[in-house]
Amino acid sequence: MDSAPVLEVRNLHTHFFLRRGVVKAVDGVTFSLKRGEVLGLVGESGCGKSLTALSILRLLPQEAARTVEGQVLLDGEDLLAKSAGEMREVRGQRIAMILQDPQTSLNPVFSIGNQLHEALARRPDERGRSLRERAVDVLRQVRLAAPEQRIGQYPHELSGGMKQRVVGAIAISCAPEVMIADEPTTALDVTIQLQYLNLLKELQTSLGMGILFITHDFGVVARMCDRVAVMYAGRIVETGPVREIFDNPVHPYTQALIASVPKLRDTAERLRAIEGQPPALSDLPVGCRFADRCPHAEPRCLEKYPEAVSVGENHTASCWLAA
Amino acid sequence: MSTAPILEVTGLEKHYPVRKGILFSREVGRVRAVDGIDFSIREGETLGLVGESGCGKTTTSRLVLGLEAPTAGDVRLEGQSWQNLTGKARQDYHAKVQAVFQDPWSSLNPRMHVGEIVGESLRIAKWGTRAEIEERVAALLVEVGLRPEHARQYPHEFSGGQRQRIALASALAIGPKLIVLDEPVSALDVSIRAQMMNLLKDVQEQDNVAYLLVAHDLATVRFMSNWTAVMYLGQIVEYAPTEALFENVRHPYTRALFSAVLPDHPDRQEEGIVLTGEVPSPLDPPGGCRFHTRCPFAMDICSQVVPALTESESGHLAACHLEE
Ligand SMILES: Nc1ncnc2c1ncn2[C@@H]1O[C@H](COP(=O)(O)OP(=O)(O)OP(=O)(O)O)[C@@H](O)[C@H]1O
Ligand SMILES: Nc1ncnc2c1ncn2[C@@H]1O[C@H](COP(=O)(O)OP(=O)(O)OP(=O)(O)O)[C@@H](O)[C@H]1O
Ligand code: SF4
Ligand code: SF4
Ligand SMILES: [Mg+2]
Ligand SMILES: [Mg+2]
Repeated sequence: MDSAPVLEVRNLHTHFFLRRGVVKAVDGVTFSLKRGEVLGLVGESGCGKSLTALSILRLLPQEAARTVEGQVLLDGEDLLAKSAGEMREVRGQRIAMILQDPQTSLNPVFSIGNQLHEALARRPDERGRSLRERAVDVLRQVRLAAPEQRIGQYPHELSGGMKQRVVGAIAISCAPEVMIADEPTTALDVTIQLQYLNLLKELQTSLGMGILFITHDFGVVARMCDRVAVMYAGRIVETGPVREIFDNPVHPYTQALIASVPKLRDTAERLRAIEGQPPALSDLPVGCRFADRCPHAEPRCLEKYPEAVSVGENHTASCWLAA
Repeated sequence: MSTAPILEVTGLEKHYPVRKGILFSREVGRVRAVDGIDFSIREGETLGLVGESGCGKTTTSRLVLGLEAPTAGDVRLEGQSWQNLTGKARQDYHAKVQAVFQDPWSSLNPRMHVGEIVGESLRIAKWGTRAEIEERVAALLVEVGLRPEHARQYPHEFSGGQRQRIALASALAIGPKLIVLDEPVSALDVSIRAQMMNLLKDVQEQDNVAYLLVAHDLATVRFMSNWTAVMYLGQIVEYAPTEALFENVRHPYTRALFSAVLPDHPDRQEEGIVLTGEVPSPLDPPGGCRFHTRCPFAMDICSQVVPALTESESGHLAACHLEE
């Protein structure tokens, strides 16, 4: 595995400027994704995972949201400094995205074939095949049954799992360097979810893509990821190799998250729950953001934010206990 | 510890006709959403119902709740089937069987404050004076981990997890015998699922209420249930005490569900049966064993003969020709 980062996010800040105040949804996020690596971005609902992805792609939902600081380096080039036209090219050819709900990624009025043609036309074919042949070929790559027939069908004629395969086909059709998958399987049934994860893993290996995999499910992390970044209230609080995160989580939030998941093999009488709620992103504390839920909180935790420190090989955590 | 079942379901069927044509519409087929199932739940116990999307779990819940009439079969609570009840007796049935649904955002009336929501069934049943009801509501809010002051607030002021607690308090108010929980935690964030599951267990212990738990996550079912039933295309294919099932899975479909559970550690990537293809349509389910189109062990007999539920060790039922 080439260890040069293909995507580097440095000190990214994306805020919502609303009449009632500033919501700091992404507030100093730093991580890097290596070529051919799967990095899991985990954390509870509302911590800023999707907004981090949308900031990278410069697809922020509305006027009120702005990236106010930071860098997003793709092969060393800052995407935040590119023009809108250049960004369209990046999104069509170098970074692909798969969202949670395939419904929103597919256009209901165009056939599957049409939507694939549009994506494929952006890239010339070295072997001179027709768009149709290439469309059938990518549908075969995502293991959609009977691809020749599917090409003429419309999204509503396919099941959720099949639609998500089509979204995957569009995503890989440009042979991207980076794929951002935002909870791509939460809307799928369990047996279909496993099929889809296996498919993504295969495609990732054969195409050598780096994947930023957003999820809140540690089962998905265990199945898919090489490294993990844990996000809490707008910041990354711990990053490390997947085994380190499972076996030696350092940040109390990571520890609590992992411990709260019921295990198939366990016959526990009670689960270890995380009490309380994350702080409001419009009114963040100056100190550690996890402090009011943390069983180990000390006075210094309230006074100053703990900067990330190294706690092992490729393993960092932002906690005063580790500092 | 166990007594006679509080809920008994026998031969339950729900078919939805599919019609074509507008003027002279005729039935062209039937969705066999629930197609002949039997199960029972004892006082203070939990039955977990698992299976893939569309297998009939929610339809089963609605039939048990008396929200829909079955095409055939019977749902009996304490020996009485709700279809035969009228007037006051019917109301009493509905009071004894309450529900908490998956979606905490749409299940609470946004125009009522929490106190009204939780106390509604008490007011309808003329359970007590206004002051008595207020007192009971305050106690219920405390029982589900909220504060009495919350009674004056509106649903939109609460998080998803807190709303599920409000829904649970309102289900508990009248002292039901059974609560149907249809995916009660799947819409909640992982970090608060554990709180809700612990709470459901505490409440069950305190109030001795039975649960019919619909879930698709096997670990949740193991944690919560005494008994587990696995459904496929409207039928129960395996039914057993939860521990017996988790120690010795008998039906190939159940095994496939277990294989689809994601690992709890990166070093435990075991792959058992990975199913290919998708669930067939309940409009025209495969003959013989309904699972034969996806079963890796299917034999000739499987597409022709419907396998019966057979019992291995005590109470462990499975419907598969390999097990006969
Ligand atoms: N349109 C908006 N206006 C104001 N705040 C918003 C808006 N959209 C998102 N936010 C805030 O931004 C924060 C981050 O949202 P984001 O969608 O990135 O969360 P997430 O981590 O992807 O959560 P989930 O797991 O639920 O998808 C949320 O806490 C939310 O309150
Ligand atoms: N009112 C209805 N009319 C026609 N078909 C229906 C109706 N309600 C449910 N069905 C069908 O019955 C089958 C069972 O649906 P049901 O909602 O019970 O499944 P489920 O197991 O709860 O699935 P999920 O896990 O997706 O919630 C499905 O094929 C569904 O499309
Ligand atoms: S910095 Fe303090 S409050 Fe924050 S996680 Fe570490 S110990 Fe807990
Ligand atoms: S009866 Fe046959 S097809 Fe059905 S589960 Fe058993 S082996 Fe598979
Ligand atoms: Mg999101
Ligand atoms: Mg359902």
